[in-house]
Amino acid sequence: MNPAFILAAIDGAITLIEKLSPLVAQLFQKGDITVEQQKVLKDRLDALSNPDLFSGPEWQVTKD
Amino acid sequence: MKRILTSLLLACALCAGLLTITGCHSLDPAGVYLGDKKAYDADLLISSSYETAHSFVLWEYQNRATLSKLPQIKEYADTLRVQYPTWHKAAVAARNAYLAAKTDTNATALAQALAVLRQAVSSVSQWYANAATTLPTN
Repeated sequence: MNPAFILAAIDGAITLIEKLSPLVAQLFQKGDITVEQQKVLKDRLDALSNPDLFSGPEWQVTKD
Repeated sequence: MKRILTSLLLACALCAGLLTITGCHSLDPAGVYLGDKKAYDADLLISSSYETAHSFVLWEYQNRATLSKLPQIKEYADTLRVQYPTWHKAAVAARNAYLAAKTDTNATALAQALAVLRQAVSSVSQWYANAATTLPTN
């Protein structure tokens, strides 16, 4: 196994799991989605409406 | 080691794939969504779809040299870079239109925009699974 690839893959996997686990947890939550949880999601959506959302270097297509 | 790594990547794929499923939860009616589950589910999918797509392109960007052994990953990431912003903006616009006027037409347009995002999450999940099964050995 290529060690660099292993580290890259682990890094990607952990990052994604960290970001998605709270959202997945809400899918299986018992009881109501709380007022605070709703506000957090609404605020997140407001942030995702920012016109600069896709201006970072990771979103640019390059030829290298 | 390869089994651990494969498990991690498949966990990612599963995690992302789960987000294409609508939960069976209910909303506290005192919240900002006023009990509108359709609006809440739309926001949950838009948010999780963005996190999934962003994680993938960021991962490819930060590990480009290493991942060059699997050039198809950059090809897919570039496709996502071109197409995903359009899909995201369309979904946000449809969501805003639905919140402004909860008509059947707007609900249908929102459902169609969300279906595109759901497909994007599914594709990214598939790419994580592909990476798990095609790991370079040197």
